[in-house]
Amino acid sequence: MSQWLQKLAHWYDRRQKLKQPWQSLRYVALDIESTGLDPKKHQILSIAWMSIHPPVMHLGNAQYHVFAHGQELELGQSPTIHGLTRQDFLHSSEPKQTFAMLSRALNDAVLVCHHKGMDWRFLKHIEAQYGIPFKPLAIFDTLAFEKHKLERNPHQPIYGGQLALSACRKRYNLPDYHAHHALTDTVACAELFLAQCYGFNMSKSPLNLLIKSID
Amino acid sequence: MEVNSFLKDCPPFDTLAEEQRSWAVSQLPSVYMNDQNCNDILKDMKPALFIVRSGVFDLRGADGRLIERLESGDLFGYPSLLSGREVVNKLQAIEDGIVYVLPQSAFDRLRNVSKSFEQYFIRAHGQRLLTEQKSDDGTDSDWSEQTVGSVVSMPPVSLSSSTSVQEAAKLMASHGISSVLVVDDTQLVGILTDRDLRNRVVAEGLPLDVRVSSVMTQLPESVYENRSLMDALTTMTSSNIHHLPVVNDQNQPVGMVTATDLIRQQRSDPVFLISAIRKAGSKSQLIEEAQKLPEYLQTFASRVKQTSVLGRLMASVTDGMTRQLIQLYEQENGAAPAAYSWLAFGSQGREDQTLSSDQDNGLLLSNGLSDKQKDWFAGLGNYVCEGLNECGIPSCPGNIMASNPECRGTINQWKERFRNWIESPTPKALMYCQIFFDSRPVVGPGKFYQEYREQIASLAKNEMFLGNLAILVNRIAVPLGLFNRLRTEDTDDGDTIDIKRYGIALINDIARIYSLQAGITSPGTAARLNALKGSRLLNRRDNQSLLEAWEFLTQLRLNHQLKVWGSDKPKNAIDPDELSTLSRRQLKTAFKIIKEAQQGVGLKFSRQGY
Repeated sequence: MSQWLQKLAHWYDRRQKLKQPWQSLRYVALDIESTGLDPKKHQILSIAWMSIHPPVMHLGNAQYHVFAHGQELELGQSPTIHGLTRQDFLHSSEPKQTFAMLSRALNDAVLVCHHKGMDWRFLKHIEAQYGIPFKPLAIFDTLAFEKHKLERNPHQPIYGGQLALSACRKRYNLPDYHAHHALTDTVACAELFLAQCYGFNMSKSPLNLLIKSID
Repeated sequence: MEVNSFLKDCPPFDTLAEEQRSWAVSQLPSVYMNDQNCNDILKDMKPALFIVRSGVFDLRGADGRLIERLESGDLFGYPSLLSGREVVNKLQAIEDGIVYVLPQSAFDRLRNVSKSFEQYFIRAHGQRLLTEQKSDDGTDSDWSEQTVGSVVSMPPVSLSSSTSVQEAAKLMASHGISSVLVVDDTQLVGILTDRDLRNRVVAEGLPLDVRVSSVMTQLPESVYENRSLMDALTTMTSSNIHHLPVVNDQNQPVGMVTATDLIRQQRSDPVFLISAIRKAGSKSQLIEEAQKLPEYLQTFASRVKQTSVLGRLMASVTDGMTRQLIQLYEQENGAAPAAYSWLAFGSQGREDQTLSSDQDNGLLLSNGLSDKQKDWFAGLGNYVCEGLNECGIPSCPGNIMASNPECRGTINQWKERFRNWIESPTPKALMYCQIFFDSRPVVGPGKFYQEYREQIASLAKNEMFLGNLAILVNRIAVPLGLFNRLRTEDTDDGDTIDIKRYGIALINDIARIYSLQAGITSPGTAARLNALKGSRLLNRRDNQSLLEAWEFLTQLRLNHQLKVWGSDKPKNAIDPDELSTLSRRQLKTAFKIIKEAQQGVGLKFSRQGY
């Protein structure tokens, strides 16, 4: 019963928070680079996250972690995977510690990612694997936001590539970055998120309104 | 990481060591700025250094006046960081973007650990950004900047003018030297060389007890000990001498430099080229030597910090070629039948010649010449101009060359020409004045030329005429667009700016107007500005700014020319997008200075008051 009450309190708390102007919340942008799309079959190579207190992005506190996977990870002919070199794997992080840190960072924050499907799937898998909970207030998907925005123009069909992170950034005049490095993509996603929200024309609107516009 | 690689190209962060820069990144919040939040950010985060990563922002003063339009790579906020004063400026976002914010504590720490970082902001704060040197690579190889005094190894060997030539010869023999200074009452009065003993004593059959005073070269060229080696080199090549006395500020001799000393200083230097040109016994030999010039310049330029010395060097080389061609002509046609000066105009006259400069020259002749004598000079003009062309100094498309009768004239004829131009200032006349007032004698007695030069200088002090020149200067619009953005021209070679036409030439024009007004006869822009220090019309600060802008643009142009040399790319047009962030900032500053100077000239000289 008390567990149920706690859940209710949490739900209520979350609802109240999401009613505040979106600028007063804390956000965590995140990006995962992995060997594939399926958490059951593929491994996380690197993960990066960074907190945002709109409009400030805390570059200096951004986290970037690379995981070694023993001998099972074959770099093969290519000296790099997703911009990672053998050198990076020599300085790898301990997964459980890293995810515990991420869990704390996500507490009371809104998770921001570009295409939440994949990142969230991996996080849920980790949750089950290590017993570390990830409980963000909400998830803001910059890709879904952009897709919705484009769909509002029925005469303009969306074609492939238009929703890629770099293509979305271009529409907001954000600088060109080299993609596929977890930290760079995290920063890129954070900047896109701020550009999207500030560009939404509702300076003090609550986040749930913004998120609702996606769902 | 992105931020790090961005800062690597963003002065002054580019001067930081790798670990200092990484540390800076770790201290660097980044913000998304738009018109709604930019002033709140400015207020909340101050004092801080703001670095624009993307977007466009206008910085406006408290009165709303636009101070600067900021784009990617631009910095703001440091004046209040340095002075501790309140931020009074306001921001306006023209296009949203990302801005990095370096807090005061981090800024101060970087200033403490990096001198170049500190220096940058002190210069920028004092608007002295243009004087920034190329980054120091640790090898201070700029030999031409060394002082003359530093290469004088031996104390001067001297004697008095009443000594006999035999005593002088003995003294020279015992010291093993080929020249000796003649000094009376601690002042340098002459120089005696091996060649003088041969040509003026032995060959003339003079007795050994003749006094040095009657055979020495009186009042020789000399150089101050605190001048640069480049100055010594220029003096030697322009006077065609091998021995140059060095004097101190009280004009007392402290030693002697020789061409050999200079060559010893720098084995592979253009000194060799200049001396090879001097030794060329035929036109074909001369042409062969002249073809090495671009290559020499390339290697020379890579060693000197101040590329602007190349302008003087090029002029020296062209002078050398001219003198050699004149000698060759005299060998075939006999010596000159009357006193004359070979004049260098335009860039050669100003000594800011470049690899793309074409010929601008003429002849100043004695009054009352016979037709036959005139023919001799006409032949000289044709021979030398054609020869220079073959040496790689292209003919002048406007035909400002001694081969053109219009550019040859007696003193009276030239004076008459100037009088006409000044009194009826047609556009063409004004253009001629811009060329012909920048003159310098390459060959010909100094006094002969100087008298003429002073006479035309007095003609130029004409209010109407100077006013017209000022109007002309203001007709050319500096390529700064709205909000101080660089304005490019769409050409076949992309979006470029002609920094000669819209920069260097304008400063030359402005310096000329002030000099004409002040009666200054030296032709070089830097020399003119120097001579103008203390002028009533041009204050010291504006003078200094103009000089710095001129040096910056000259350097930029030469570097560009060396880069595109051998290709058919334009030699004076720069693509601002290809410049480093620092150079782009400096280019804007230079144009701003020129724009103000233009307005200054307009106000002071033309009643129209631009």
